[in-house]
Amino acid sequence: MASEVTEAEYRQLANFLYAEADMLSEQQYPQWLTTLAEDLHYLIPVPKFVDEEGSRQIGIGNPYFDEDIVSMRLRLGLLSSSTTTTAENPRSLMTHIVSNIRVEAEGEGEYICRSCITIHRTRYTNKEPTAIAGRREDLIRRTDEGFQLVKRHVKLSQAIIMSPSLSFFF
Amino acid sequence: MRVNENFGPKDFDRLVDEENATASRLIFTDETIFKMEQEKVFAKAWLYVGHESEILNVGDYVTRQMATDPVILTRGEDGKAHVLHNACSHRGAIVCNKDSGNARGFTCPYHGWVFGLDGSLKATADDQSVYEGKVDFSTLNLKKTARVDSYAGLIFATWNDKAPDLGDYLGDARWYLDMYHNRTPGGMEIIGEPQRWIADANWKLGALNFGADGPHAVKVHGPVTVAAIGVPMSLVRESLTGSPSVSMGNGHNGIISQVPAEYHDQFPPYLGSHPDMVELYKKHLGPEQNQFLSYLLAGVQTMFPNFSSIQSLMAFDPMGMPVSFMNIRVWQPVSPTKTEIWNWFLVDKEAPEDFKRESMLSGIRSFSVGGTFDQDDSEAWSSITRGINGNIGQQGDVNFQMALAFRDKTIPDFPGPGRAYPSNYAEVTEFDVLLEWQKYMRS
Repeated sequence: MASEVTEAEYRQLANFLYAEADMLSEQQYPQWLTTLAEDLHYLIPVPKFVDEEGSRQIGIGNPYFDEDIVSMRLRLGLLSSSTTTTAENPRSLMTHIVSNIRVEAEGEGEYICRSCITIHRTRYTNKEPTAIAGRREDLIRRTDEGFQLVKRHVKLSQAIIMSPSLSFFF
Repeated sequence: MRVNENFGPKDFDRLVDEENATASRLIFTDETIFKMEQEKVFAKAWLYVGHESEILNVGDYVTRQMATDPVILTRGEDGKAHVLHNACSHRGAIVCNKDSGNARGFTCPYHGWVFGLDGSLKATADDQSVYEGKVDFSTLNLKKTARVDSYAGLIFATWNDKAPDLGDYLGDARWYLDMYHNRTPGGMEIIGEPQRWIADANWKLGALNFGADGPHAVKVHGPVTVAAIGVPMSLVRESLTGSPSVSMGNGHNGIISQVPAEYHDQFPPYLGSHPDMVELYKKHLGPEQNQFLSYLLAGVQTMFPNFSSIQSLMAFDPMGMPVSFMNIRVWQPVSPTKTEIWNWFLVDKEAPEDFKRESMLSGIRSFSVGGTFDQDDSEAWSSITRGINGNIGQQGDVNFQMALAFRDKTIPDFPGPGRAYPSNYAEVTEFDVLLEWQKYMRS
């Protein structure tokens, strides 16, 4: 039941995504957690190069991330303390760039937001930055406490991760 | 010490010092050694290429690497697995540029030469009669590996026509592969396409770590394990210092970390495997293998040179029980200081579908590029490259000298084959991977 949104709604949702991008770049995970819905599903599959005619599915998949709110809480907790992460101690320097935002209303108080994300990242052990980009499809819900992310499905545009870890979020 | 292409056996005696349990740092950084490895190790040993469950039907294929060479693993019309070099016999273009699929054969995108699932040449750009009989087309099939064989569902191939049979190559390691991969009548199946990522590290760092490095598990993974499963750090430490490491022979090595008896009531038996599967393990495996599995914390091993696996368990729900996962991976050498890590998960074929998903989630959240354990390992290996690549850094050694204390302390009545040592900290088995490497490099 997707329908158009008002200019004001678009601006509010875009601002939500921009603020979220800053939290993710700064790794402000306690704050980001408050924007995640209890029924969260956060999915980043492994992209494949396939022949459309001869394509076949092997098993149920081996995604980079397939998280609910419970696993996400634990992951964010581990990444928030220097005692429980080697990869992010010291923290990566990151810039999350959000663009190509399109919004549709989806039922009562929910929105489908499509956007592109580029993450420019540098780690202590390799000063040469890496970039990783993908197209996001989000389901975002308006609540009394503000917007919450309900679903995020990221389609990455690279088949091999060119750095030793995905110890950050999209 | 400077490495050059005239390096002989004696020079490799200096690079890996068996007596002293040290090795030169050059083995992780030097370009010449890397090139020699391609010929002396990766063209000689059996290399893992894929799993039987990935190519069930005739025409199924997956594209893989054998070190720096691209290959296609196919299920041929003869029902057999074939491993074909993925470069056209005409001019060398990649003939199959997909990750996986099903096909009747492969057509080169450059001049349209066509090859069958077994690599045989079917057609050239124009009719073969145009060559006026001057070319022997039987020499222009896709190059195939000398041998392909599988054990416990794991398909290996080798370019070496003098290689021993795969069974002899794996030797005593088969008993341990059975314990992890061959414990129900149906065997295991691959959960999905591989994850791949690049670590700024030599391929041997991964192979050694899984061969296996006990001490790092407390420093790097201890706090995560404690936070995720809610067990005390003393459990992790006692498990690692009190559990065996095993040298299985032919460079195959690993550790079997057991849950100490006093903590059994805090752990699910058989790593939280599905109860129906446990019943199958009990029937399908011997009592000693069942004994190891029943209170396993982690079974970690490397099959020489670059295939590794880990059977372990993890919980990402503080209120839930840990769930077992089975991970396999290959450390593909890209350059002296770059490795492409290929990572899969497996599950017992008979397991219920919802358990397969639970096991996959347990695995990807711990041992994958986004997993909490791998994130930290890859970072540690990358930091080694950075630490040892300078002029001074190159002159030093890497140290496995815990082996000096443990190498004579084999467990006399160990219930499995191979030589076992009484601690995961022993560093004997990790160093043994390098001793095997040295044998290959001397040859």
